Amino acid sequence: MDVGVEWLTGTGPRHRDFTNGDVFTEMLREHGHVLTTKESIPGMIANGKMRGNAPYDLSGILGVGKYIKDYSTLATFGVTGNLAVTYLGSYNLEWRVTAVNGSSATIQFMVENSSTMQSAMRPPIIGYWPIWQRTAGAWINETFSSGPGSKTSQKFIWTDTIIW
Amino acid sequence: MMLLFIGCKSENPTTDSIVGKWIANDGAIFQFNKEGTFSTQDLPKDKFLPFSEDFAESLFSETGNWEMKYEQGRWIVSLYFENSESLPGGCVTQIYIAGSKGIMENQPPWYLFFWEEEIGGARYKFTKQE
Repeated sequence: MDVGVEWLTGTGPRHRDFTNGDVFTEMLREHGHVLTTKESIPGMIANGKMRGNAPYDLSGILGVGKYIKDYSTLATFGVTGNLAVTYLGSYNLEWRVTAVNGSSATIQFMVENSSTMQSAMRPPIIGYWPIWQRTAGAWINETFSSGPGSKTSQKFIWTDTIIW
Repeated sequence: MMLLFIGCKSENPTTDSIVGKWIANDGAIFQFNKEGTFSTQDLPKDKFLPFSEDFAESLFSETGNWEMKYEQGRWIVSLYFENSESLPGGCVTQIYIAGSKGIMENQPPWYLFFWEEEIGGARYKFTKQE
């Protein structure tokens, strides 16, 4: 919540780091996409893959349904959806295996996010087209290049143990 | 009306659409082979690899296996980079397939892209060399 207020008002630090135990990180860790990615990692390890990218992507046609689900958080005061993802929108989940001990592994996850007015106002589907970025998106970012609504960034790094 | 018609006329990329040599503006190369293997040349690590700060070199050339998938409403090529000296533990990542035509980017000619930074931002594109 504070991060959103800072971005909207142009106050506070322009970058924040989050890790295990932070409320924002703990909410993100519970997102369905993170949980699904976690479930897939033992299979990746079995195939000798120790790092990967797993984007949560709202740019495709299925993004519309995800938008509705993610943003329902605001209408239901947090009963549905995931507030962290409501703020982040699309995000790339990076993971790497830092240790394997028998049938468990320690995984480090990372998400880097930029909050800009363009990303906040990006409509489903067309907001991801190159032409949107070059026209409306560029105009929005220029208009909000400083002060309230200007760019802030967040970096989440957390570790998790996976047992199989 | 014409625009709507074009938007509705959808085509799906095929593996034959992907097989071949793809080059980015800065000279980075993907070579996708028919039997499901691929090789790369001079890919920028910071755009392609998770935790890219683990690697000293800024460009990498590797090999691996690929497959086409339809995920989250988009066609992608899943990339399984092999374990190597310069990429220990390999890597799983993906590159997007988009059409140059059609409202839903669903008509050829196809191009491949990575999001340069945030999803929805600038695209790092590869075009196919015929």
